[in-house]
Amino acid sequence: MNITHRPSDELMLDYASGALSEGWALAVATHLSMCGSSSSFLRGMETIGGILLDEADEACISDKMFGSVLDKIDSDMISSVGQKKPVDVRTFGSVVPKPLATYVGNDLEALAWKNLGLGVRHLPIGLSDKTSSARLISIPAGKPVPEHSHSGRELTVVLSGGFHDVTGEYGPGDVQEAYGDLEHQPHARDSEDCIALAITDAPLRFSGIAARLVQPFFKI
Amino acid sequence: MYTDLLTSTGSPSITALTAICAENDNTVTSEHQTKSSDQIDARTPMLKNRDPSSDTEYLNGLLKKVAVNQDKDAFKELFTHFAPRIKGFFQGQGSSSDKADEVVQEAMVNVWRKSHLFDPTKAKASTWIFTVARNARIDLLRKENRPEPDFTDPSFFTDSEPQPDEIYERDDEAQRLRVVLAQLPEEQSKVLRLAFFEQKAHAEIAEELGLPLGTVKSRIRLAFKRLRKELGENP
Repeated sequence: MNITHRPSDELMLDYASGALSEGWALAVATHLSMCGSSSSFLRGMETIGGILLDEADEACISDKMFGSVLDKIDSDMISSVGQKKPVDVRTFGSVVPKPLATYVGNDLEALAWKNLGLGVRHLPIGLSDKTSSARLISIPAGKPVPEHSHSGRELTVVLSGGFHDVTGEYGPGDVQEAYGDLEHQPHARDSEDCIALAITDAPLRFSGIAARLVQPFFKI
Repeated sequence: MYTDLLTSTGSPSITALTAICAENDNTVTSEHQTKSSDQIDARTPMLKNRDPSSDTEYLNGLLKKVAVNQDKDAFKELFTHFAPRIKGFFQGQGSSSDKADEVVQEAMVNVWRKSHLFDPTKAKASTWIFTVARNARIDLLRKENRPEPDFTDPSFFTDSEPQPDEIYERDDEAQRLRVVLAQLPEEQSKVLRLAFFEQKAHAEIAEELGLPLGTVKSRIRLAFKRLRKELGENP
């Protein structure tokens, strides 16, 4: 398997600095879970963050702060007696990387998928930040999603299967960054269904009348 | 028991911290020197020139002591070194001193809580503490989740590239990055600094600088084209 579409440098920088809001960060983290090359690039960016921290001007810290930090730590130690173990998100042989599994669980077939018609299914994902929407999309092998354009930004990460459109061929781990100017019609690979994570910050604009008619009901 | 520790270590730390605000590094150096003579060599350069490799090892060692022995003296030294820098780092135009203090406090508490996750073969202490502070800031100021990959579970790596665990072995990588960072053209380094210090996305940076989005993107790409060479990556 070969990842050829990685996030742009500016998207990686936004993630490394912490500026990226939850939905986009979920897509980047999901990609990072599948891509060693992007992960080592992220580490390099974080090393730069560490260098800037080393070189930062030292601001004045109040006398009391160290004491309050110790107080917090001590109260931790008292309350940690009988504390629950962190939830162990097991991934077995599933296609769900951990950052995503914490939102949707591990078993894609157990999810409450909603049919969008023509075999296309989706599953909205709840985010604490409401400036973007996240969903899983499942496209049957060999089938297209209705042609659409974007009024905002769309990030898509392939989890399994793959798709192609005017911009190229995307397989597991690949990321597509689409902006307002892209009008495309992704087609799933013939060999298997395509499951992808898609993040958007504005409703898609479908070109066909049928898709436009059902769109309000699915809030896609 | 912990209250005892707090009382016994409390007052010297307060003296040291008050002194940081007044006189900066000198006072910290003298505090170190009174402690144990065999480590003076490692400590003195840390405060004179920033980041020789002995310094990296020393800070890494402190963090390990916190993780393994819950060593509060080591933690106090980390606090003395990093708390003023974390505050200086994040005290951009946007955040008030109170907010910055909150972030510093939360970050240092998390350094203690998460110290067992620090692995010196993967990152320097300052790199790791940067990530902890960054996440504390997201958590406190934006109240959002921060989705993160789990590098302890490499089962999902679908490409043939080396995994991140295998990458970070060259201790001089940071040194070389530091040199390249210092040589970047002002317009590129400004964008990187706005990103890291103020946690601004590249679109916000474009807005703040009154530049077209494409200009900011190309500055970021040019900067990382240079930096990538030091990361051992192909551009």
